[in-house]
Amino acid sequence: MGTTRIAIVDDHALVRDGLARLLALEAGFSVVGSCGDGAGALKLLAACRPDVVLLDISLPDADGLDLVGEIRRRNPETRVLMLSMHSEPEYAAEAIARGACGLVGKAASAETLVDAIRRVAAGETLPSAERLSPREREVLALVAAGRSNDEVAQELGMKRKTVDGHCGRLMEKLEIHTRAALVAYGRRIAF
Amino acid sequence: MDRGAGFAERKAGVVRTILVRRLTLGVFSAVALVVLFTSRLSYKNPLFYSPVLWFLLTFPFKALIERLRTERALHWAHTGFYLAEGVLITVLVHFMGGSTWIGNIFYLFTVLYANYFLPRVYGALVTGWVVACYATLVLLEAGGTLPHRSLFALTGDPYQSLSYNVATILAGTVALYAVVAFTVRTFAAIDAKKNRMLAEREQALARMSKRLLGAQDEERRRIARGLHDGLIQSLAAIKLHLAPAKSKLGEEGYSEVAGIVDEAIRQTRTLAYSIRPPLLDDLGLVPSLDRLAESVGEENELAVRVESDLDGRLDREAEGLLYHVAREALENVVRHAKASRVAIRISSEGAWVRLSIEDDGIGIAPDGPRGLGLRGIEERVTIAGGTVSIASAPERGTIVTVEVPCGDDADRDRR
Repeated sequence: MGTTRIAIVDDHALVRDGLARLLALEAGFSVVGSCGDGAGALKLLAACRPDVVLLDISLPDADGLDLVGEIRRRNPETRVLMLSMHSEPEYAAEAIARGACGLVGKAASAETLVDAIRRVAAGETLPSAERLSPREREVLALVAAGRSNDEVAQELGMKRKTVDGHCGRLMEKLEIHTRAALVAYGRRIAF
Repeated sequence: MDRGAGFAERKAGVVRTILVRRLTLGVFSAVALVVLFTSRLSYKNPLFYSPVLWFLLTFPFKALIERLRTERALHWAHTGFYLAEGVLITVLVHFMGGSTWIGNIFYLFTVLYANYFLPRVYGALVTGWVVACYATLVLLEAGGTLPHRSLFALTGDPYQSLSYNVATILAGTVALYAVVAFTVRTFAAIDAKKNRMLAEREQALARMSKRLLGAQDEERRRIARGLHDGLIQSLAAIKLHLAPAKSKLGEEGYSEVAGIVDEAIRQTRTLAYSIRPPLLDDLGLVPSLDRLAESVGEENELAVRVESDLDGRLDREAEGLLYHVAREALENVVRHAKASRVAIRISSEGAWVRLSIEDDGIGIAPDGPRGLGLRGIEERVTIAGGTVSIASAPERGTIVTVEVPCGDDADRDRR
């Protein structure tokens, strides 16, 4: 596997610097650029075409979440991993709904950060769908297609209660707390 | 006592009562003229000149009152006017028909005005004076010192004249109803003005409260933002810079320091969250309520469900207000309701958003005391121009419903 080229967009210079140093120590990573605002981010990405961009949710001139769509359009090959100080899972759900591959906390341990970047670079969406059973994936796909639990039960020939149970476990495994977020996640990973 | 607006207002009130008097006495004087001509009384008769004198008296009084500078002088001048009025009415009553004449009812208006417009002591003084005037007249007439002219048992010219009697009764009736009408109108106008002023003041207060709450919200947002974008970021930066130094610090030293930084982050985040959850500005009301529901639910073993048919974001004030309401109501449920389930529902209808918080707890007594939480909700919602209703039955839970006006926020600012 080649080197993963990473760009960092965060308005806090010390955070940017800290991330760059941390990632420089990891084998297989190379930080190819960094900047502190939304306008700079688009220029930076156009210039260096990284594999992964670490994008802060709150930037001085733009909402990081709003920026995801723009980045995906201009740099479809670049995967966006959102950075945030906020730990609420709603942010991760929203990030995925907007087209990011996931969200990682800035205060996470170095291992978690590095692991998240590796997974995203490998094409995964966080939280990882790896741990889902085939049945759960089926349910998730139908939920993402906008079906109600009753309709899912009918299509898969299960009891309604079983579907409810699957949904509950899905939310638990994915750390997602609302149905809307579950739908967004399902659409994002699109089996 | 307020010397400024209050005094000017009081002075204007006194001038108004004197103008009303002048109008009434104008009617009086006109009637006296009719009597004068129909019964061919001498113009030297007090029946004619006393209303005219009284009418003229209002001019120097008005001029005097407008020059006064202190509350006390104003009260005394006003009192003086009523005292003079008492004497004049006594003279009129005597010459019109004696102490038994219906005209003695005019004393009533002097007492009424004096007690309405003047402080209690001055009002009592005028009342006592009026009683004394009338009692003196009665005693003098009864004792024979003054001739008593009863309207229907008069002897001698001109009191036997039919035209005199008819004119006198008409005069009494017309003047009486004129005074009644003016009095009622005066008091009604004063009342209306007071109500208008009260309503204006209330509106001004409401506007101010709204501004203050808005400013407070803004301040909280700024502080929470500052903690999140400043302090917590710096703490995160420390942690990031710490990782490459792991080899120097050793595994144990690293995790110790990292643990301290993590704790600082956790504390700051909790603080920022309690001031104003950033989620509210970043993602809006529904995700914030989801989060609130989950954290309150987990802490208190309560099943909290959030249902919403809201499409998109609301304006910032409405989101802040509704979040506040939900948080307070939920706190109330946790503290008092002994509930096991709570449903938070949000729906929008046109320019209105409805939020309801329903629990299956013990309920609250319909006329029982409201907790601070509910009163706080009522205050804030009312200030925002919304309505609150609380329905509850013993052992059947409580439902708090709030409706607030809300436009979609076009220029919402997530930062």
